[in-house]
Parts: sequence; structure tokens; C-alpha cells
Amino acid sequence: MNGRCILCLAWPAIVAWGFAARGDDRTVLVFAAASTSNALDEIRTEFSKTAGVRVEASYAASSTLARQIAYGADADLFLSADTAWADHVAGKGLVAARKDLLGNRLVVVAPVDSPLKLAKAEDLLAPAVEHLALGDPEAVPAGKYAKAALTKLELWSRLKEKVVPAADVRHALGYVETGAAEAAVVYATDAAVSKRVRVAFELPATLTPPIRYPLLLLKHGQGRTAAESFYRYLSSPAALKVFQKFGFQILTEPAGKK
Amino acid sequence: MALLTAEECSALRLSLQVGVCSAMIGLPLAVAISYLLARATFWGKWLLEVVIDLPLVLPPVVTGYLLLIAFAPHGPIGAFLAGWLGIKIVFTWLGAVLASAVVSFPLMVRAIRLAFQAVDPRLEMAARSLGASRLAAFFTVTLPLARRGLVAGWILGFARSLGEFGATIMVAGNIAGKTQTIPLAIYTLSSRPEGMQQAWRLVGLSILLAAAALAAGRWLEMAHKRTG
Repeated sequence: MNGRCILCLAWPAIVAWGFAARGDDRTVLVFAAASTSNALDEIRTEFSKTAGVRVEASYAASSTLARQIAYGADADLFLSADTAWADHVAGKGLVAARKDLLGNRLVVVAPVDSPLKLAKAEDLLAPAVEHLALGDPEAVPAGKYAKAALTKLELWSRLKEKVVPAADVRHALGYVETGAAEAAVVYATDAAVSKRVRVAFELPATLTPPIRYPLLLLKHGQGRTAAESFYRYLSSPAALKVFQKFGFQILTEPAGKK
Repeated sequence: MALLTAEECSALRLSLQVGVCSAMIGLPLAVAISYLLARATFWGKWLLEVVIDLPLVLPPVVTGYLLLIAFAPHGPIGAFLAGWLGIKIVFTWLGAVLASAVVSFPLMVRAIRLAFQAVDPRLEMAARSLGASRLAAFFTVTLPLARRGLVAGWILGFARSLGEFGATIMVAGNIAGKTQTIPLAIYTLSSRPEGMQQAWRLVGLSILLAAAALAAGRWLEMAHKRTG
């Protein structure tokens, strides 16, 4: 038996290993808005321990995730940061159940050691603010909300030149953390998980359409026990407590324990 | 012009601008390093080779990450450039040039080094024995003989720049009209749920540009064979 023979025999085994079993009934795949990552990581770890189910999560901008779901990604649940992308997925006939789970607020952040005096939205016009990081204002929910707020304040046309669009809200946060951008509009919950940024001021809720996170049970997860039980668990008192701890507003009535 | 929207035009213009500039900036340094590597032997040569080839095998986002740290306004190099020269790299098209130049540099060096190695060193020696200085021998004998390798290296660097994505998005961001090259524009469109249908023109354009660059390279190679 020479080396070439061994390789020929091993080849199918290697390929099979590469494609090895995934997506059984003991795993759940959640697509979730980037802003929910810290809270959801804690919740899914806890759920995995108690329920013996693996919960995998993919975090990105809700627009990116909606596109992936529309193109056939095998997600069971989708926690979107705005209703538009939830509607988009629903419009493709991919949603089995839906409820508004969370609410959030927008804040403007600056690097923690920034000497800039930012107390109100007009201060962003200062030349010292060269870059204002946002989620892509044409698609990413945090960016769309930010654009809506700045438009209502009649600042958008003057700030547009400074905007650095990011792939999702956490990237916008990252640009401020590294000092590459002088300010960013992010969610209050994003600002709270970073030690390297400070909240300069809050953008009042009246400036934006309501910031709502709908939770969707997708057709792919429908009828799968693990997916459906995690869908219920996300509105259980235990899960909502974690979301609350991270600064989210709770929009749903806590469901029963099971 | 009606074929492309204003954003697509600016993405095309930026891609070409970044590609040409990064290959232009990289060329003199690539020539110097290639010549050194082709002709000289010195202690630590392998280390220099590893460092130069590193961007070829590193994930481009890693290269981009390191460049972002170094060139951010408070980074070690960024602070110097901003404070003394007033040059900003991050989130400007210069950032895209920098990222592309670093990532495509090893490819340029590879092509140019081979060209230098193909030039018989005895020709250089002959020139020097006839009184030419080292520099004059290089510019009048070696460089002209290796010119096709230089052009090939330039084209390779340019083509790699056209495709640069990972390092560019880290350093230059993805600002339409300022730093959004064709790959970044496609990425932006494809992350928007209705954007997939709009991306195809840029996808076609990318294929066209890449094929043109490759064809130019092939054509030079054949011309080289014909003239010997």
C-alpha cells in the first residue's frame, strides 16, 4: 500500500468530515442585529446550559441578515433592529410568527478621552468633528434612524459630507473606539458595552420612528422544537431581565416560564 | 454614460485612480527591493523576503487592521503625518492607495525580481569595466533589459489594487464618492436587500477590467518572446 493509495482512500473521509452533520434538531441558528450581540450571547449561553440545545448566532446589520435570509440562509430566528427589514423578510413569505420584543434609544458617542465639547446635535457641525460614523444610512437600521433624526433637526444636508457609513452599528462604534472618527451615532446599548467611548448626548426618541426590535420565527425554524422553544425563551422573564440589564426597553409581556 | 449611474461612475473612477496611484507609488520601491533581492546576498535576506511577502498571505483585513492602528489620527504614524504634514490617511482615498499599495507590493516585487534575475550580471560588469558607474550601469543596461518585467509587475500591482477589499475597507472605510471603489460598492449593494439586482453592472465592469489587465500582461509576455 503506497502513499498515493492511502491518500485516495482518505480523500472521501476528509471530504465527509468537512461536510459533517450540521443543523440537527439540537441546534438553533439565530440571525440577530449586531446591537443585540452582548445580551444575546449571555442569553443563549444560559439557554444552552439549561435546555441542552446549542444556539448559534450570526450578528450583522439587520439589512445584511434580511438579505441573507431572503437568499435562503438556514436561519431559524431573526431578531431585527427595525420593522422594515422584518417586513421585507415577511414579504418573501418566510415568517411563521412575530412579536415586537425590544426598544432602544440613539446616542452620540465620542472617544472617552476626546476633548470635543459635544452637548447637542448642532455641535456636530464643528469643523473639529471631521468624521461622523453611522451604520450605512440607506440600509442599516441604526443609520436609518440616525439619518431620520438628523434630517428632522435639519442638520442632515450639512452633516452628510462627514458621514462615514459602516457595515453595522458596531463598526460605527469601532471607528470611534480607535479614534478614526470623532463621533458616531449608535444605540445607547452599544455605548454601554464599550469602555473606550463616552456618551456625549442622547437623541430624543421623538426625532425617530419608534426603535423597535421585532423577533421573527422563520419558516425554517417552524416545527423544530429547539427553535420554537428558544423563540419562546427570548420573551421569558429570565431573558428579558438580561436584555434589560444591557439597557434595552422591553416591549413585550413576559411570557410563561416554558 | 447613461450606462452607469453617478455612483457607479465615481466607483470606477476611484478604482482606476487608486489602482494607478498605488502601483505608481509602489513601483520605485519595488524596483529597488527587487534589484537588491536579485543581486545581493546579505545577512537577514530571508527575513526581508518574509516581511515583503507577508501581505500576500496575510488576510487583507489583518493588514488593514495594522495599517488602521498605525495610521489612525492618534496612531504612531498617523499622528506624525497629521501633525507635521497635515496629511490624513484614514477615511480618505489616500488610505485606499496605502492599503492597495501594501497588499499589491509583494506581487510587484515577484514579477520585477524575476526580470532582474533574467538579466545576465556580466552585461552590467561589462558596462562598469567600460567606465560606467554602478548607477549608470543599472539605468542604462539592467533597467532597460528588465523593462517588460517592470511593466508586468506594474500591471500585476494595478490589477491586485482593483481587487483590493479587506484592507481598504478597514483603512479607508466605504464612503460613496470618496473611498468607495468598485468592490466596496458591490459589497454595499449586496448587503442591501434590493441591491443584488443593481450590483450586476459593477460585477460586469470588474470582470472586464480584470480581463483587460490580464490580456495586457499576456500581450506583453508574447511581445517579449518575439523580440527575445
